[in-house]
Amino acid sequence: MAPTLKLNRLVVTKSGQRAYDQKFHAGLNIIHGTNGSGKSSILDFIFFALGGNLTSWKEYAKLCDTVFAEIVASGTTLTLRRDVSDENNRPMLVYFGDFEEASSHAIDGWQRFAYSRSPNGKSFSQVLFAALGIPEIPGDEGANITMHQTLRLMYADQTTPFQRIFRSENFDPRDTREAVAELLGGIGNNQLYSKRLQLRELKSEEAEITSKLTQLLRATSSLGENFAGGIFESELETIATERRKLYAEIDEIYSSDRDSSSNAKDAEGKRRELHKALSKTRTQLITGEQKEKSLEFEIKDSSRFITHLKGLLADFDRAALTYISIGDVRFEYCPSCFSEIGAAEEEHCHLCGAEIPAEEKAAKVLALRLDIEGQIRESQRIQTDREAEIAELKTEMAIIKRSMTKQMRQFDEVSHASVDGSMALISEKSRQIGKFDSRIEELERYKDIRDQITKLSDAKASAQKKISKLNDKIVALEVAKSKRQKFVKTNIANMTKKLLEKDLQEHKDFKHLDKFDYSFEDDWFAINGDPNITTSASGMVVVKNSLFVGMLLASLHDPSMMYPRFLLLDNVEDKGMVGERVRNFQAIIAELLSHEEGEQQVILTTSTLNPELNTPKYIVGRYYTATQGTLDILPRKA
Amino acid sequence: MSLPRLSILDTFLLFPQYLHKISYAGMGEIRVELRQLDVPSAAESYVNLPDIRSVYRELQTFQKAAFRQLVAKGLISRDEYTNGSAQLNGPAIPARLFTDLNSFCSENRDLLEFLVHRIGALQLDGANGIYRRANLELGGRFR
Repeated sequence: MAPTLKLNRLVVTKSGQRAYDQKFHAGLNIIHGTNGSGKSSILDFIFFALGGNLTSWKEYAKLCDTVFAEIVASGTTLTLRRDVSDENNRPMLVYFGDFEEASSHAIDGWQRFAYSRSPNGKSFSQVLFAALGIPEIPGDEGANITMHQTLRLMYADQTTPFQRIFRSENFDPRDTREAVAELLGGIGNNQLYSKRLQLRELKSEEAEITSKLTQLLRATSSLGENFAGGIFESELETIATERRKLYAEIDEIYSSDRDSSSNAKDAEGKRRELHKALSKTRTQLITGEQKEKSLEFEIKDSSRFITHLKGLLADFDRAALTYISIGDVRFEYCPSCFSEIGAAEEEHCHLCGAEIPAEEKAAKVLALRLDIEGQIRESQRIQTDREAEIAELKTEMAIIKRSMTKQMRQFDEVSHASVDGSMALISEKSRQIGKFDSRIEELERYKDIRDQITKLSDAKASAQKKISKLNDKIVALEVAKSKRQKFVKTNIANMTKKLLEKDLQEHKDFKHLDKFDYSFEDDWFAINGDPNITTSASGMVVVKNSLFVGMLLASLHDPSMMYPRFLLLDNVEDKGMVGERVRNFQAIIAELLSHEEGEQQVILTTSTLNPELNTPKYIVGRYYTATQGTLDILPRKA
Repeated sequence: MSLPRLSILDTFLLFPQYLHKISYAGMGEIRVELRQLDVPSAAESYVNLPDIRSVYRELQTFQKAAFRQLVAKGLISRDEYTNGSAQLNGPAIPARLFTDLNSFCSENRDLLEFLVHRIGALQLDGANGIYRRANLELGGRFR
């Protein structure tokens, strides 16, 4: 389903009182009034309520506290709430239902979402994108693609220079504009973004593996050892035999020549001390091993739980679709007795004829889905903590094990040592054992290094294979993207051209309109290849507005476009445009939209209303003046 | 397809781990096919399911309500249903749901084929029937 956004109602409050409360309808909405009556403030409030980042409020608007917007995002009714502030990145409260229902809930029932994504929670942009059905761009790239950024292509305001397409802002990287335009145009689809991201991650993973591997290979080449498979194992076997032999010899000396002198008593004391230390280390090791086992179990169990939740989420999506799809099918027979049912009025129960209150199935589904996603996210966070804990524990255990080996060796030496004349002989044998032990440690280390090399080589080969596969996939997706890009661009340009051709002949600042061109990423538009199209600023405004409307019209004919079929126009008479031309432009929009069947909404402000459009079909609210403005706060200055 | 048979297949589709509990005595081929499906066993599943008999008994309440909804909305034939069978009225399925069901079927083709052509081909009653093999004889038959 193509994303659609519709504002149902906008409520602005000041100290708990409603300063503005107006319902909006599908299609063209016109807010009209004199200059300085606060029309632009209403559009600013809409932009802000939908997630726009607004810090420079108009003096009067800034007096207000809170803005509520009841919207329908691709069929899902939501009420959004944001507190007016001149701070950046304000959060949003979302109620999964309409404004009336939301008003009956103080704070319960509302969910708070931050402006930015975080590992622990969704941002409101992610929630609104999910409701709209706009694919989320994963990773760091996606973090910049917010509702605010998409709204910059849906709001033609008065403060942005008329040569620019995107609503202006201080930090405005080209990459972000490009990503927004591609996202809304349904061009660089989600798959391409995620594949590129995967490729970037894989390449950095491969580079890390290569660097580790190079370090290890360099280190091993300087060791002069032969790292061929099996070589360390056979040496270890030989040493173990030799070691056992030496111990047997020491035992023999010890058993044939035991004495009980004071030296022996000292040795016994030392042996006991070592035994005590050894017992302590062993207890530590056992406790650690138990903890490790328990953590391993928890990780395994939690991983199964996460898999289960993911499965549940997929099942839930399917069940939700079934629930909504079947719910929409009309009853043909009574579910109790199966007798035929006659036609029923719309919005009335087919069975008993009672009026059915609007049930917000989609909003309920979205809220439940977010809940399961939250559980998955939380479980994954705990899992990451557990994994870090087990890694730390393993390092700790390796240290304890090494220490235990050392203590055991000392204990062995003391246990086997004799303190009489055989001391020299035993010492010599112990020294040999010590040498063997060192070599064993060395060989074990080499074995580890060799295992690491094998593991890294395998990981590198696997990463390279994946990179090559991904590259192929990306090339294919890019070809498709390039085709789609051309298609969307041509459609938008053609629609814009269609609008421009309807501009009044006598006001046209260009003689022939052969070609309209634009670049979202570089933020310019041009007629017949010339970006300085017209000699007048008002002419530029007409071209810019035509591009915005052209974009909306193109989206109505192309379901793959993610543009939410929603437009705010606050500059149709900007830069001293003559009344006749303004009124003509309004009529063009009304006429073109009247032929469209797809859902769309355009909210436009004007002080020069085309009298033909002065009907409830288009007009929202009363006629506003400087003294009786849009915001009912205090008497305005004349 | 008869409603009792459909209700059994639905149970196994919902909880495929119960497929491992069926007795395949004298049906080695089916057992081999099941093994190839890679259906997780009860021990491998996160959810600890009770005995199939109590699940089947509980599930029937939902199945009956669902059948009635589908009949009342014209998605399955009323006449067939009153005669104890279910026959899908394909064109009545909403388009989006139809697409989704198709993708579900292709994603789970092997399991569905196994259910329909292997388990669904077994007789219901008797010593070799699915009721006895799945230990459902005392679980309350679908009515």
